[in-house]
Amino acid sequence: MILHPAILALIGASLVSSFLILYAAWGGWQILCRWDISSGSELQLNLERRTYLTSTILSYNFAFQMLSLFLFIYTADNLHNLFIGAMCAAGTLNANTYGYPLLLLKIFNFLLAGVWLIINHADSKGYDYPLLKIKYLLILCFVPLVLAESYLLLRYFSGLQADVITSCCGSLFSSEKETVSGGLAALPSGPMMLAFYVVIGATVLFGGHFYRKKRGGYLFATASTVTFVIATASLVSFICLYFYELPTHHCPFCLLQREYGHIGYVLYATLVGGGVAGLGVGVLMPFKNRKSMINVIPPLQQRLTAIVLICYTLFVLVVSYRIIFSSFRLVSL
Amino acid sequence: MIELSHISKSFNVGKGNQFTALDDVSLNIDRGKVTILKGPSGSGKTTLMTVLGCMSRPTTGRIKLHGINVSGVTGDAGLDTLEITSLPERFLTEIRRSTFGFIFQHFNLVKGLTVLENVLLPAYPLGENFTILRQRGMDLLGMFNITRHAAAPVDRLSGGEMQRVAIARALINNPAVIIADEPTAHLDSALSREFMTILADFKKDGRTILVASHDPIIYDSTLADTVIEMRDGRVTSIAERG
Amino acid sequence: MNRSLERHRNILDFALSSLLRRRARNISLFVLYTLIVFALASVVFFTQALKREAALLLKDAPDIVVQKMVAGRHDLIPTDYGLQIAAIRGVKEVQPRLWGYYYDPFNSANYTLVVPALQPPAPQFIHIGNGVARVRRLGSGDLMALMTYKQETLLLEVQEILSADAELVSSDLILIGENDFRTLFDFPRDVATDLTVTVTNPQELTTVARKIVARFPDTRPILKSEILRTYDAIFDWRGGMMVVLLTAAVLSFVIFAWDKATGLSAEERKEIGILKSIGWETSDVLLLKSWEGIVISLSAFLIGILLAYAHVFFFSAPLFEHALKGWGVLYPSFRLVPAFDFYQISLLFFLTVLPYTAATIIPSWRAATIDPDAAMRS
Repeated sequence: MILHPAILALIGASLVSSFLILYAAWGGWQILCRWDISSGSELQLNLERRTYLTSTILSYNFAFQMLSLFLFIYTADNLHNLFIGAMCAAGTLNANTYGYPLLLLKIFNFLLAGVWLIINHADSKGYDYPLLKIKYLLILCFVPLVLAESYLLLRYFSGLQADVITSCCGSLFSSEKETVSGGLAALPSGPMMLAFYVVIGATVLFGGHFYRKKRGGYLFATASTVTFVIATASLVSFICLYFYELPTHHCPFCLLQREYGHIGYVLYATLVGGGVAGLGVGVLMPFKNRKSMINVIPPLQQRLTAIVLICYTLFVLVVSYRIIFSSFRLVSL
Repeated sequence: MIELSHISKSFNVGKGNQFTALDDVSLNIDRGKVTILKGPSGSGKTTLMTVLGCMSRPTTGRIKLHGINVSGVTGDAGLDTLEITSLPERFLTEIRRSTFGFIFQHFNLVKGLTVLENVLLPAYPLGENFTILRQRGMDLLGMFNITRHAAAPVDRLSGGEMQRVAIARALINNPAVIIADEPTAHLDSALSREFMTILADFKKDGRTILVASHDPIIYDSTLADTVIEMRDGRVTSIAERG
Repeated sequence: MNRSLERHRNILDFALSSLLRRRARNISLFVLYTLIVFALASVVFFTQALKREAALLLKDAPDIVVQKMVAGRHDLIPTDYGLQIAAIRGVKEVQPRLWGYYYDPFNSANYTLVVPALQPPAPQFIHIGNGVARVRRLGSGDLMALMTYKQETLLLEVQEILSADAELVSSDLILIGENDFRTLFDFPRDVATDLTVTVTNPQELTTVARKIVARFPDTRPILKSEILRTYDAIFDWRGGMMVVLLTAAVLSFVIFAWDKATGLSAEERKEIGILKSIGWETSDVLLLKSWEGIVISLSAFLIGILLAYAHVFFFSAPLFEHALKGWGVLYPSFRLVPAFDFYQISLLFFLTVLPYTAATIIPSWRAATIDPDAAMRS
């Protein structure tokens, strides 16, 4: 265990998050069990008041999670000095087996929290609590995930020992390793690039269609989610190479550094924004014909679609600009 | 305009101090009329007012509104009928702040704020442009002859002036219904009569008026179209006048 | 969009005025909040500045330092070790170093004496650091007397006072010529304090270090990155320790904030009741409460951070100096080079604003769900 202020802050924050989610889930459980909208009993009134607390907790939790993701990656980067061979956050995360699962779980929880807020937003516009069930079921799903995140965080940090020899990001993301990230880096960049442009093109196409005709929502949501996955893989596989102008540097974290103009923030913000909004469109699909939602979900979906289109277009523009104007050329092309 | 059927409201259900404030009340409030709720204190007048004004939900029974539109809500029974019994709070509040203006027994002004701020308070969450809002507030102050106090803290006003601030506040969102709970309880007879002339103006403007009171100046007034008498949470008599 | 913006503006406006109206009630919270931010920010800034100083110190340090060990203790190294190490493949250059400490009994101070490899001072001349100049009240051209190990006085002329940049490093420094150094400490001719090794290819540092140990099992090569790592680890650890100690303060602050937020005064309750009765909704009151929280948090955070910045970088952190710096008595007025970045700000945000916010969520909700008809029943 390394006694670094940021590690203490992250552990503290994850404990607070876990507690709040547990509290929200406990309320959610009562709501799921005893909800009766037609009743005017004091119990029902209390449960309805409780829904405000849940929304508030989850909104704050979302903000906490966003900040904690940022702080986590930066702390990993900050600590790399302590590990022989670690050149950046990638090396620190690799210092023990909990690092990468923790990062992935953090990202997943963050996406899920974003989707929850979208559902909650739609629900609050309906006059009969139309999405109540799915909302609170989702919170119950949060509990194990958030607890797992806290557990991994504790394991990861308590397992950190300065001086453990770790691979630096150069070798971690080099093509020989049989890890997930190594696998991503090993993806052939030519076909990967093709796939990237095809899925993003398809998403924009479906999105435009859905935006104008309000049809093909599932198709669009699926395409958008696939794009999210492919674009993330592409980021490791070939996009970052153009930013680093190095053929072997596949690290997805260095993009956040000042040396690369903090461009990583633009890339990740657009990617995550598009991913969450796209998922949101899909999750809302089954409810859009409910009577109380008929005037709520379609315009909301339209706005989300616009967000997806703007985010992904921006992402593609930044990436393409770099690919075209960078002096770096991939040999395989 | 407002239709109550078999409304009951109980507090502290299942506990030792359970009591029933309203017991099977059914009545209709007509548009543009002045309705007086009469009865001793503890008869359930205030609770009935809160239920009528979408401030609290009945334990059982149904409330329907006619001819009131709320964005995002579509009624079941015909276009202008809206069942509001189990609407979520945010919709009830939406209805309440666009349709009802409240005048309270103790005025319920926020101490420390100026007269103008108090008048504007109900409109804050509506997100109206502040300049327009302010102008409307000043117009209302002018209407009630208290413009000179606009920047003064409400604590410095006399009882009559406070009353007028409270009335101006009730009007800020231009409600169709005015609900007043014992409005003259803290006023002398002269001020009470002044209040009645203001009510008369409201009626002329076509507003629906609901007053709970046990003050004869109010329930014996010629303004009253309907007088509903209450006792122990039940309606004992409904007298139509005029 | 515009409407919801105006709503925020109106409610923020009201939040500000209601905070001001309850000035007396909020001031204690605000002061405590600022103090907590100030204390934590001082620790974080100071640790960071020390790490930076250390890195600055090591920027020009050699890649490898080789020490001779005798029975696990550092000993003087024969200079001919250097010649043999220079012959190892991959080694670019080997330099013997001469340095040590001199205790000045009159001022109870320790000076660090170093013979620079490049441009050492001429015999009878020295360059001294700021701290030394201050303690001994010396200017350039003055004579400094040191006592040799043979109890003779060695008079040396101060040629130059070292610049104040990164004073933590150079403050107690005396640069001296090789002959004067050997005379002063009665140092044998054929040994040095340690050896510095530079390597042609930095990637081969570990390989070279391994070869040195293999050839001379009685030596210990120390890598620059190791030193840097050790410094970082030590400063982080000290900072972490301080944060652990301050956790108790943060916790009691959080409990205080919780208590404040829970124990609404009767008047405040009444006010929220009025707001709700005249058409404010639960989420409007929640928004009001969160704006109040944001205003308090941001102002306490900003003021706390500014105070800490001044405390650390203008006044050299008098409150934490001894706990965190932990070496030397010779630095009464050293000044740290201001260094802070967004990472530290977000770290501090996490340590202070997050617990405060978390502690006020549930009380705010309790306050916001006061029944609207409560105002009519009072």
